[in-house]
Amino acid sequence: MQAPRGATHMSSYILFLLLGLGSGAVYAVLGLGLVLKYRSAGVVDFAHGAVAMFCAYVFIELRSNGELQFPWIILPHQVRVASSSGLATAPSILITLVYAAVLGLVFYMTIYRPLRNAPALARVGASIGVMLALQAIAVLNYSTFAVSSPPILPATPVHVASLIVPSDRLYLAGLTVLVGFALAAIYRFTRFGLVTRAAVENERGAALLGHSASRIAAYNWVLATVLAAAAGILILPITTLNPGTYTLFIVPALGAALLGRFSSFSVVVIAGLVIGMLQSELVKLQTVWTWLPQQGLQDGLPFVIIMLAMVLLARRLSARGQITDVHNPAVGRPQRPAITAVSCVVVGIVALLVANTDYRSAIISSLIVACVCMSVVIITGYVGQISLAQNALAGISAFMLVHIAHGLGLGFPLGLILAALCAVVVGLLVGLPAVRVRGVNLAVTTLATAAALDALVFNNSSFSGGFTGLNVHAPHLFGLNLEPSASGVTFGIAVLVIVVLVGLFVARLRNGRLGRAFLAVRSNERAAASIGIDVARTKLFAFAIAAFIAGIGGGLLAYQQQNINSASFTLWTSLTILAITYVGGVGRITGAIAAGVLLASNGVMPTLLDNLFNFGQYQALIAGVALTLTAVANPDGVTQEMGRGFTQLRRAALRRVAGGRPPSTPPLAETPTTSGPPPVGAPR
Amino acid sequence: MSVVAPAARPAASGSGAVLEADALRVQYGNVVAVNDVTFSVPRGSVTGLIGPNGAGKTTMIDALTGYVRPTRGSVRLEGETITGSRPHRLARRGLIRTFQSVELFNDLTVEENLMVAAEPPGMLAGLGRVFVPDRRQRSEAVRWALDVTELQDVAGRFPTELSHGQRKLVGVGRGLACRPSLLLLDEPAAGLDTSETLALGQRLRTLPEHGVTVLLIDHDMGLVLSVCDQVMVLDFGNLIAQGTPAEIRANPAVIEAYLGSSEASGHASDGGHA
Repeated sequence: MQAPRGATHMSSYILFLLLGLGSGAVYAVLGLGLVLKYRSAGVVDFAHGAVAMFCAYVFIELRSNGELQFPWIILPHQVRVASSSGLATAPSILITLVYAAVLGLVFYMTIYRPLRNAPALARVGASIGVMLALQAIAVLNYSTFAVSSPPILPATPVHVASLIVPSDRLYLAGLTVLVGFALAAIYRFTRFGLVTRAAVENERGAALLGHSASRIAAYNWVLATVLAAAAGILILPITTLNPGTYTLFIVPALGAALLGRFSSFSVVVIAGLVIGMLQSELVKLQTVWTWLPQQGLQDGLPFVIIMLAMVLLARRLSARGQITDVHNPAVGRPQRPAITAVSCVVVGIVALLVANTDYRSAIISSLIVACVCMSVVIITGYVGQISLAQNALAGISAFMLVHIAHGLGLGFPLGLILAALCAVVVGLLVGLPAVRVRGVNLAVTTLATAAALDALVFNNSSFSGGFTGLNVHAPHLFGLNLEPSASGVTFGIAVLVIVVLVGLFVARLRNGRLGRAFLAVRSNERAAASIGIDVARTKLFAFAIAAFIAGIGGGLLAYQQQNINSASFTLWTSLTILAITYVGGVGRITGAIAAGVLLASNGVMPTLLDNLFNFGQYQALIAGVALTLTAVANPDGVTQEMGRGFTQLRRAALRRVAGGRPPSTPPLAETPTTSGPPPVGAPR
Repeated sequence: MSVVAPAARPAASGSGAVLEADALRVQYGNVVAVNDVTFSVPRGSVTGLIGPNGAGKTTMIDALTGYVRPTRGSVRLEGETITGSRPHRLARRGLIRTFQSVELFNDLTVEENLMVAAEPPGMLAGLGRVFVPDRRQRSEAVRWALDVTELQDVAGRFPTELSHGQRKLVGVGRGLACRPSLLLLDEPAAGLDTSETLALGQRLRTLPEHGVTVLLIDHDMGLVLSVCDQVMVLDFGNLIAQGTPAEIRANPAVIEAYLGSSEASGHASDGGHA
């Protein structure tokens, strides 16, 4: 009786494939939206999944409470449009889709249109800001509890060959294919499609023919958002809704869009469906092959697909025709780093001694986050490579610190250094795609890597200790007890000294030979190669250094928290680290410090605000909104703005002293870097 | 010009050709951008490559310096085959190019643009330098490159604060700071006014004294014919003439292809006087 058993065996594999059509349909439709947005506005919208998530909440609230939800907090965010028993399904869907159209239009006009010709970093930053903000709003307004929904599409059992499949999967897949066909037809045969393609090829040319690229982009944007909302609603009965998982649909959707090279609708549809089916099949395989990781495998799959797509298609990914004037964020020029470092230590020690226990721990948290942010300053600020995985690297180091202490018996400081070196190994893997891809594509691969680390490594309880986490041995040095719980001052001083040393290192790096090579690669890879700089090696080297610094930060965090678990290093934390560094000023060490002090969730300023106004819960939202605002309005970051203000004050003061003669320093050349060059600002 | 040359790059041989191209071809689909071109650049010369717009000059530079992989044919530097080598490797072997569109590092000052070119490429050594005190003096190569290009006055400025002509010179200086054995200049005079072009020509003329062979690509006949020892003419990807400036001026094929247009002949007569 081998044959029949083999047949049932086989059919159960097929069943799992078919079950995966549901989530596959969502990936495909979100992928299609990503293509529409990219082709028309040149933005890879990381917030696309978050928009679908928010629209799904809008739908659920309409149907169950009859209330229309708005994306803000504190102010009343709901309006009653029907009795509290809720609206019927069809009108709820209709209202939600109109709502999505308006939401898409508003986002496009206020955020993405101004960024049409901005550098990749600003565009990535803005969309990640929207993603973080929508996610944070959903958490605040609807909590993280999963919500489920009654069926929308008919879900009767259907016989497919010898299998019984819920019909909604088949409807979803069919609808997705229809949407794909419709979009392909619209783009090929209608005037709208023709004009969109023209505007993509040549924005100025299309404008000369009387087609406003931004109006075309707005239509596409609205269409993409409506599709995202529809997908978000129709998938509700199959998955449960919570702010996190829905937002992360973006990762497989990006995989599908990449396989379609952000242009082919049909490939995106197929890729999305296949990713969903394979993910579902993995669930089956886990029961058969028990040696497979039992958690996170499904979330690791899109990572593999994105990496493959990047390697296979990188050279052929079409760049959108655009009118650009690349303006990279300003970079700082540390002056007298040694003296600055010494004064930082002095000020820090005084602050640690003066502060009470709460604020002392806030200062330490700020220092540690500043350390991780400095890794972003190096990789994204100096070398211009967008990494969305820096806090994941900190996490690798944090857990390795514990394993090294257990396994090798190595404590502080050797264990910390070794743990940071483990982060370097992973950091090189994160950076490897940078050899072939750049800009937003690198952001996509690093996001996928962070998601995969999150799902496969941090979720693995033998590595991260599961829910209970891992206990960390308190650091000792030369018989000195650096345990954070004691009074905290000695530990605080140890952290202070380490972080200041890291800052001094970054400053000297910036002013030296490596810093120049990094900046050369950031401003022009072609020209950098022409003078003998190995661009690929330079990027990898920078990734390694940045990973080491992130690793030091992660290790210090482990020491401070005494017990660490994976929640400290999720994908969200990596995105937040990039967000707050960007807001602080991604090209400056002071930007990293500002990020740690003003914006880190346990940092000094948020602690102060939390004590005054119970503000802590809003940190994620503030980081997201601030990131988007920074990207749109002030890509150099707040410290640059503060620096400008300071320079103006100093000039005003000098003017008064010098009797009305302003010093003739050009705005950018704050100081000559090395001794010897002739006077700056001499008349030509 | 009192200029002290930096320690010269060890030359493979005292004479002969620095660079040789043999039946070099670059083809994009059906378009042949460079059509089986064979030539050599003699050591210690200033060699010119001219041709009207679209003749394939920049494609040729790209193919010689590793930015474009030739469809077939070979390139030899100091007698060794370098076809298909990556740009940064060729740069480290002394084959340096500049860009028509300048392409400076706008986040670095003029001096730093030259420094980053002069500095050794080792990453670990660079990391080591972070931990030792700075030597606060200009390297010889940077000083020399600044002298030759006479950019000392603007060394502390940023490229965006300079005139177009000055930026072009920074591009040349950055190439020189690499201490090249062969410097390929892609239209260094484009966008310069007459006096700037003249001064540039005089500077280029002195480079062979410092061990730098020059391949000058331009469509300004005046500059090329007045500065170069030997001139090659490229038209629609074909090498149509090769010889001394006097021979080129008299070559009927060149006059047909290039000087035929009234604008170009104006340039040519300029060249005759210069």
